[in-house]
Amino acid sequence: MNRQLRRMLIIFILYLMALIGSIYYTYAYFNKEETHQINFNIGTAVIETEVAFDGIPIDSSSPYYDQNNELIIINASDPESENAISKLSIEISITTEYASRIRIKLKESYIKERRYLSTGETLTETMAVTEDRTGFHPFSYLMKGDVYQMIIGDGGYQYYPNILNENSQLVLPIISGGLTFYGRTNTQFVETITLKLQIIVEVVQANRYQEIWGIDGSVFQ
Amino acid sequence: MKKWMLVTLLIMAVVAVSSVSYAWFTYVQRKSMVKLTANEIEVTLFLNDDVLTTTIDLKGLSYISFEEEVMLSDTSDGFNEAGLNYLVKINVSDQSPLIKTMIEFHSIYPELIILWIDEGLYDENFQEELDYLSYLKTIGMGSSTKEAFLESLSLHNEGVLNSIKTIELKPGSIYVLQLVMWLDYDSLITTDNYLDNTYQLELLFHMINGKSEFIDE
Repeated sequence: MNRQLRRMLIIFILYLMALIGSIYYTYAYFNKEETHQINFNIGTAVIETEVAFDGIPIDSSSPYYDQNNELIIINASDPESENAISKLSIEISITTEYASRIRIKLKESYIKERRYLSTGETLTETMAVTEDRTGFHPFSYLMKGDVYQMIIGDGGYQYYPNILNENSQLVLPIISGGLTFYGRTNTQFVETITLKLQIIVEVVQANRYQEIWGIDGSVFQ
Repeated sequence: MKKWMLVTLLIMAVVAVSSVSYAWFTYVQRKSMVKLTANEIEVTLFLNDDVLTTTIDLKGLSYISFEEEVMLSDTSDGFNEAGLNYLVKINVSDQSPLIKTMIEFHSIYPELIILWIDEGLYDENFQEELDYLSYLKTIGMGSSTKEAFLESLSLHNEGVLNSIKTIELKPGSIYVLQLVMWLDYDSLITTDNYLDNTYQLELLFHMINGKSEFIDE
């Protein structure tokens, strides 16, 4: 009797399993569900500058970089020097995780040093560039990089014409060589001209440039 | 009793197997002999060109002022580009039967502005909507307050997701929805460290056989 009851119980359990299984199996085949969790945040922008002389990049420990004042020191008068203006190339790489507008500004200071040979006295004079040449940055001896697309705006700012989309990268060849400023050398004195260059790169959220930069959209028209 | 149960068990097995097979018989080609195949739902979900994984971290949300840049502005001037946009692609495999899809998506963040756009079936001429300002202006036409505008947007999104539920997707087809998001600075509860805010959203996809209907919950 017990054995018969046990068999009955086993058959009943199997029956239930088959019943539930068949319903579940059929239902499962009719359905597919997927849940995905998406985490969003604001993101950042990274700006990297590659400065090179004659194709050899320099870093912050280079003698041609003033870490305290964040200046690149360029010899503007001696084409043979390691840091000659003609050998300079600067490329800026901007990687942004949000849609952005970009502008740059070059702050140039041309300093002429005249060293008198007899006394060793040195006179320093800051020079102004009064000519604006095609293919060069405005009132500068620095040549624009290849396929230069920046729009010249007010206050020395240059604007990238397009909006940089989120999660994208832009490489801007800013400077590709420059014109040598020949200093005078004679029996009395030797002149050297040094260019101290600072580059300001500003990245703002694409729809916030008006407030932050204080300009309207006409510059991009 | 035992015999009865054995017989029922046998019948159940036959019914279960035949019903499953029947559910997945798909008509393939008209010939002198009809070929029938039995397949299961096979769908791959993409976010842009990447397969949608269980958890994804995305960056690129931008703050806007909804009132100033949507309601009071006629030009995008960076607003369109500031929208973080993704194409959600429902890719039905060639081996899959007809399907219907339901998408559930809820946000608990008042500052998160969400726009769903029904882009339709993907083909070689596919071009997604990018003028979000005009799109939003159409949705909010006639809304005099921000609350009314946002309510219209919410109804629009609901409408897009509801309409998807009724569309039968054929094997080999790709259906595209666009998800666009901004953060409304004016709706932030607190502006402390607002640039570090993170947002978690859950997207639930429910696919059923194309000849079935979703049961409203």
